[in-house]
Amino acid sequence: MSYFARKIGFLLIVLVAVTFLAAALIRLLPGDPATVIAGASGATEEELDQVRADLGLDDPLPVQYVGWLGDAVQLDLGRSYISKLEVRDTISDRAPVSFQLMLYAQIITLLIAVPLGVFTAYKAGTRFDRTANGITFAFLSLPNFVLGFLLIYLFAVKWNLLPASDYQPLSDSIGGNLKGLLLPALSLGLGQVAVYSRLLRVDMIATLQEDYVTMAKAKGLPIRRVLWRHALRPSSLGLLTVVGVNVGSLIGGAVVVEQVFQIPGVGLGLIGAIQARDYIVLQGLVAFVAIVYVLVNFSVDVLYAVLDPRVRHARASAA
Amino acid sequence: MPVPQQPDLTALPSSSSAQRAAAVLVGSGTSGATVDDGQVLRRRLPLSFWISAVFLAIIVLAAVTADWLPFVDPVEDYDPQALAAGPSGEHLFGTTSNGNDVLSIVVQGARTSLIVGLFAVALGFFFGGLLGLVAGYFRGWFDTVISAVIDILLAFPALVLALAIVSFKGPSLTVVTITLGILAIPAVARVARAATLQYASREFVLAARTLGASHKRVIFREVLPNVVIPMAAVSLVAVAVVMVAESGLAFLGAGVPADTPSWGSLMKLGQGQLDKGAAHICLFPAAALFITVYSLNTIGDTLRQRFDVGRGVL
Repeated sequence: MSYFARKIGFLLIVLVAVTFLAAALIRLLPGDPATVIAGASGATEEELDQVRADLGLDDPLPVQYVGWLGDAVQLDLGRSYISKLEVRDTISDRAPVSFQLMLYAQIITLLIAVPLGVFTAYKAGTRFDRTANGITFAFLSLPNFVLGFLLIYLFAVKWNLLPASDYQPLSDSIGGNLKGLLLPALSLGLGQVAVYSRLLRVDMIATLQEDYVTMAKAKGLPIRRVLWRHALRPSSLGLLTVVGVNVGSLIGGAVVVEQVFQIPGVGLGLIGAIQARDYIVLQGLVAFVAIVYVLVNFSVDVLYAVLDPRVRHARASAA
Repeated sequence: MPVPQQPDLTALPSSSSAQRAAAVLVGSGTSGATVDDGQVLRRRLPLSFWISAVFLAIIVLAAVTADWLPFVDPVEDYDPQALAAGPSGEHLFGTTSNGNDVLSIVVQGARTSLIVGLFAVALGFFFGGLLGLVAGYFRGWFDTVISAVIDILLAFPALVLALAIVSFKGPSLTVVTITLGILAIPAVARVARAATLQYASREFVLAARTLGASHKRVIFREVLPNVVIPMAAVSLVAVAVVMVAESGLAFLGAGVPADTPSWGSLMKLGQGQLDKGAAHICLFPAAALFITVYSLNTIGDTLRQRFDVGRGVL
């Protein structure tokens, strides 16, 4: 399985590089972290030195990195200088929130995009196809936080149906959790409908021209069955890829939407860490987000290769 | 369906799922040949294209001529008689809770957004385009390294990095522009590389090399002209992306300085007023951003489809 061996080798290199950059982040950002952390004015030179030693800022970057990595693999990402909380605990508090938001957003997108992609492929070139394309394209152009304002205005202010900002943990109340996350999930998800449905449409159109589809139709199978049972699965590989990319980036990428709806996820944590100049927390969260992104993409690549053997074997042009 | 038709792209060891996604965005090769493409060729430019062009022209014109138009100053002038007042004859878009004229801020904010969008994209496309062009043309170890670096950089949430850099560096138009431009480089390089790959092994490139043309000449005279058109379409979409990022940063309180009018900071100001009967403060800049992004996306998309067809005919 040289494909997988190569993939895993590359994954390791990427993980090292990504964590290296995250560890170097303290140095890359403008300003002197020691001064900020020890308090801009009152700190003595000794206190500053202590902070620098803690952060490894006195060491050369590789030494600092190895030290950071050694702690990180033991899940010790340090402790915030400001809140005194373990970064690890911050991540384990916030990641599930962002994960739920991401999951709901993906479910909404797929529930709309898959049927739409299938039917627009079947009806390609018709008025229905063009109308659906136009509407989803408009949503694609609606930045997610702008959509968020619109949804807040309509659903929370005007019609008073849903809360503008009311996150409840799943363990407290399933209904409350869904209610609080519905608007943010819609804000994140509706724009992506265009991306998913267009992709699926193009792949479906290609599949629908295959001989076995003609055969299935000629056999007299109902078109519904041909579309959903015969054509959808072989057409969904491209979609899977993009869903994977989105899943990976949404876990840390929903920064603005989390701010709009005040959802205590990773994104809001990142904003808070930046505003408070909380270098340690920022470093830990960025490393977490980047690692998740890399791992999700890796999983998608592997899944892809499992589902489509052509990817595994160095294949000839299959046009 | 990017994968089967793009053996060049996916056969490389560094190819990742995101790269395939990038190929989708560039509209790779024959994959764009959908059923209705034949009609696109015969049809005139769609109505949505012209509407978008008109929108965009109005926004650009307003942004450029804002100083000579009879607008009140968005920062200095405020109307104490009308705080957070809704749209009226005197203030077409209403006023903010400080009594500033929302229309003036929206118009001046268009200028901020356009400046950041255009310059950041120019920066990103110059360096990213060059990298992608060279990587896609030469392939080999250089391409492997560049692609790997791109993969690594794209793992970082760009907006978070921008937010961190701008807040740590202090808000300024230049910092925002340069930061967003630099952060655009990896994504642009990936798209440029994907576009270059389609041409680097074509017959006319081989012919030029056989005739003794230098690599430099082949890259700039043979490959670049073919890559420029799809990249131009992509660049319009990129301007939209950067404008959204600029607004997002300003909304998060880390964009341009407070005295520079910006759609993002106006939305930030207005969000608190959404439920206080002054939704216009937030919704007008939101609408302006949406219309601009929609126009840029539509024009970019139309050009991209046009281009795909043209290449199919050749």
